[in-house]
Amino acid sequence: MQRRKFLRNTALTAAGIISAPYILPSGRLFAASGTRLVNHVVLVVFGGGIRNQETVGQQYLLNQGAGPGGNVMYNMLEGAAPSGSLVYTPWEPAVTTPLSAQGTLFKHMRYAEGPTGHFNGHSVVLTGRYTETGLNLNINPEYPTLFEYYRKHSDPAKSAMNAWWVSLDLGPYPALNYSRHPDYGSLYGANYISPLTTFGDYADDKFSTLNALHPEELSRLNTVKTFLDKNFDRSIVDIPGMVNTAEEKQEIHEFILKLLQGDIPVEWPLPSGVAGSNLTGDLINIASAWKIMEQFHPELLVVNTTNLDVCHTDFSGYIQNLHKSDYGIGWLWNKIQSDPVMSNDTIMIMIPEHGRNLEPNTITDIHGLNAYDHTTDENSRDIFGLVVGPSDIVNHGLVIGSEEVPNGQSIDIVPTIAHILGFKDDIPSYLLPGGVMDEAFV
Amino acid sequence: MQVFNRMKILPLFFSFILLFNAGCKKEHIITTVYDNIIFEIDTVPVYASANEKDRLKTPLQYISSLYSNLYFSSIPSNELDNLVIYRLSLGDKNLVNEIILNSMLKDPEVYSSLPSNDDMRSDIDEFINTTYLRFYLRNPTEYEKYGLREIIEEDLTITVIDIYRSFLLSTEYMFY
Repeated sequence: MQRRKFLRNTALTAAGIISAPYILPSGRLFAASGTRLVNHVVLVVFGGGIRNQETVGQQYLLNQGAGPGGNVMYNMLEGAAPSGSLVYTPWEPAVTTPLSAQGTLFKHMRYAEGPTGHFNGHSVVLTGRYTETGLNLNINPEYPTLFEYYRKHSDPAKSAMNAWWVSLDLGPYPALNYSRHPDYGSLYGANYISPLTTFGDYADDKFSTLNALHPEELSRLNTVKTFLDKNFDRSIVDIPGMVNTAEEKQEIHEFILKLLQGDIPVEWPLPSGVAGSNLTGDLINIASAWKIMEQFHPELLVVNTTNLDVCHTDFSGYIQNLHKSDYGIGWLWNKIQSDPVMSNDTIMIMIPEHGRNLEPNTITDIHGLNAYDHTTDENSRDIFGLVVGPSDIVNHGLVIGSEEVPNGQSIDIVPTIAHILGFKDDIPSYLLPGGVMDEAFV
Repeated sequence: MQVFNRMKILPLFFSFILLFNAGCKKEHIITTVYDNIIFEIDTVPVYASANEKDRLKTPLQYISSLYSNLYFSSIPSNELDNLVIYRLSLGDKNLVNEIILNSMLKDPEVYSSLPSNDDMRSDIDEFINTTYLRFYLRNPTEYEKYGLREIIEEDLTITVIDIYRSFLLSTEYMFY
């Protein structure tokens, strides 16, 4: 009798736990409902504007009638390299198995609406909303970013140390770490960093001899500053920009100084024997993103590459940079798999911000090859996506979508990452028109 | 353009007004029109209170005022450009402000011009008044004088640099 009563009470208690609303510290009635697939997501906006002809199409020079076809992305895609007429210096691949075999390749996705501009494309991928022609480059986006969704709807709440936006260029890109949406904003923003500047020559000259403040100095700063701030009628939330906690700010401060001073060694994504002079901005950005991952193990990191935009004037340089960026991605995946925290607990997604035109412009390069712009023709809306991760979570070796029947859109990236990190159902549905790229997951 | 009607702080100017008023009973109304008060170096107006500061400094204004407050001169344009660009490269503006400020405070040119800690402790009230005027462009309230004096007196390890760093990173310093 007692045992039966115990079982019944246990069952009732369990049912109560499952069904009863729980008031969270954040004021929400219910806890985040989703289950995480993994604990880390790395999104690579593999950008600069890339034509599917030279990536998943593996046409190399064939499309121009100037040589053979072939795969120049040995790390991301399966396929034989060009048999000749090389306008790039081939590098040994960083991975033994191409990433497409370690995940699901969405061979033809759509950048369905809006101008195919670089900032537009980045905004679409990071907000899950298409942009209009009149997109203002000087202010934060209208709709919430992926980072804000992640920080606001994850439970327990996540600090900015878990969300990073690592951008190759400055310009308007710093504005993509949070939106001006009234329900989100800087409170939920990501840490933004542009390594080429943060660790560039000027910084090396100016800041590399600095020391981080000692704990005693920090304590005194905190005491006096708190007193001063208490007597002013504005607070830190009145100042634009995301905010780290004092402790996390100090951690990042020390990290930056140590990198500048060489106390944290940097490895470059280069095959052995290849000189440092072969580094591109893309590769430096990827190496910096890895340093952040290695140091802080963020749950969400976005890194971009943009050097391929040289295609406006130099097709051969575009092919070379495509080859190098592809190497960087393979190198990054190897690093992630070698990390005790992120290995087998990370999904990496790669997607160009947009494509490029079908028809060339009037410029030819030193090899007589045509250059291409991106002026919103149908070809510049044709992109690919690649999702890689552990085999029990991500479908391996699967190829989805064709030119005739594309599968997926740029605006699907935000909901897909929200699904992976388990907060998709907590985002108000009217904010995200895209859907989850379900086919990628087991 | 913003128009302000405020008193000047120059002691000589005050002395002149006091002497003039003492000499004759005629009432004088002094109206001073200021434009771009932040960058005025020779004629610095004083805010009557912190509440008058309601506009956020732009990054360019913040860095310029930081530099002129510490170096007593205008920032060279190429240095300003470099620092504004560097400031863009990090999302946490408190962090990047701290990096920029620390590099300035460490510069021998600035460091050698700072009051000594002995100077500070020999006349704390004077130090507080001067610091509020230098960085906040206003006089401290009695409460502020009392509170900051207490902090300095209670912690003998607090230095002039600690105080300066706190002022230059404080929220009030971001506004004008």
